[in-house]
Amino acid sequence: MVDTTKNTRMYTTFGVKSAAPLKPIVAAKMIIKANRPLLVVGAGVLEEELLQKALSLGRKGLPIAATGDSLRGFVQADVKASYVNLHSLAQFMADPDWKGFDGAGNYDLAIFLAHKKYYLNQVLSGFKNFIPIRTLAIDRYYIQNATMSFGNLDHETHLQALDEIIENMEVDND
Amino acid sequence: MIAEEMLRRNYIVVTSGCNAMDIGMHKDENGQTLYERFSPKFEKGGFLNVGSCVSNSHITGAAIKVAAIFAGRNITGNYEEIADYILNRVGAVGLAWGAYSQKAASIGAGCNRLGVPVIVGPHGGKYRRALIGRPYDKEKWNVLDARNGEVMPISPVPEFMITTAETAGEVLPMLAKNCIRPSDNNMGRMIKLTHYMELCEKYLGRMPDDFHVFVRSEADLPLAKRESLLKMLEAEHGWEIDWKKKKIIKGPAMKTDVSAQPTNVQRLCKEA
Repeated sequence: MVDTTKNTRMYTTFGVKSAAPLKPIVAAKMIIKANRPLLVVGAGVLEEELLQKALSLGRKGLPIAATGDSLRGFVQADVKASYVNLHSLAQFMADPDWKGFDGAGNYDLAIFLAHKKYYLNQVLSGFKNFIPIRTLAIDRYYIQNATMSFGNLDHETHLQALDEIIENMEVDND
Repeated sequence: MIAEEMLRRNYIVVTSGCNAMDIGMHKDENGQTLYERFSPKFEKGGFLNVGSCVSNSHITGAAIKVAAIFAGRNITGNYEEIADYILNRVGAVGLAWGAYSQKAASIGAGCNRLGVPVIVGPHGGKYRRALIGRPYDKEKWNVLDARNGEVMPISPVPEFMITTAETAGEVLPMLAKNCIRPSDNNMGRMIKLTHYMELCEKYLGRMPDDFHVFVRSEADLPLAKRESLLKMLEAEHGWEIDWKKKKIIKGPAMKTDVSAQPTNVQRLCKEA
């Protein structure tokens, strides 16, 4: 088991409320228990190893919101992926009447992977203060404004942590 | 890269300040900058450097001149009407890319006041300002028709007044999409949709999911792909197509009316 909770050092702060450190097994359980989870991937996912992990998560049944130009990585893949601008997505998720990408309603858990740290923190600041949806950051860096976040990890540990999430989850949205 | 892609597609690109300097540092394999490769005139495919960043007022000034010259609007003490004209008719989008100064952010806000939507880079979110619409909320996308004051449904454009984008690959389709305006004629809408679709295919890897919301009639569809797009509209969105005439019978949420005069200002409506 990988320890992803050790290094939660921040280099800038967004206030006194910080994300709880997140273990991969806890992340997997939260995803399983969620009624409408959504995996939100950033442009960093186009790196091959991360893309494979995101695809594995998608194959487990997690719908994918591809932000930036990350949709390119999912075009030929057998997963449900939709393009959306990250800032717009936060705006849509703040609306309880939003029907989601599949028309079945808003989401209750957003999982963020492969984003720019400074960009994601700004977006999650909106979630933290105005949107009653839980957010998990499974990025390489500690994201203060998420509800729960991995600590700062090296590349290898991050990939192992993602593997651990994939091994421990089964989601079926159909 | 962003400027070059838009210039190749015959958009007019106007730049200023540090961005203009930055663009001048990039040369192609022949050692030429974009300034040397494209026309320096305010015409299709033209590339202009207006000067320092405070000279951005010349760029918004060009949008004001469209209202003054083409529509004969009074531009003295008439900000509301000019901004309304630009928002509904002038297909201009601002881009403040990169980690930018407060001055650039305020220039972007100034563009917003004049009805020009603005995209900032991923660092731009730090200014904590975003004005983002909800394109799925179709009932709210209406304007008035100045001919008679009737409420007129429109496509969700521009989708935002100021927002952020993550990468250059994301911003290019956003730029093309947000050049679409309610008053576009068929030819204008067709050209804008062509660029939007092509940029999506090139940078996001596939056709946009939402192109159908901008289609008012078959004449809005890109000429080269019209038949395949009609098939797609029929199969995926349930639109009714007359295949003999290759015309859309039922489906679009709005009609094309080239003489419609979209406005958000009640007093400009003749029967108001």
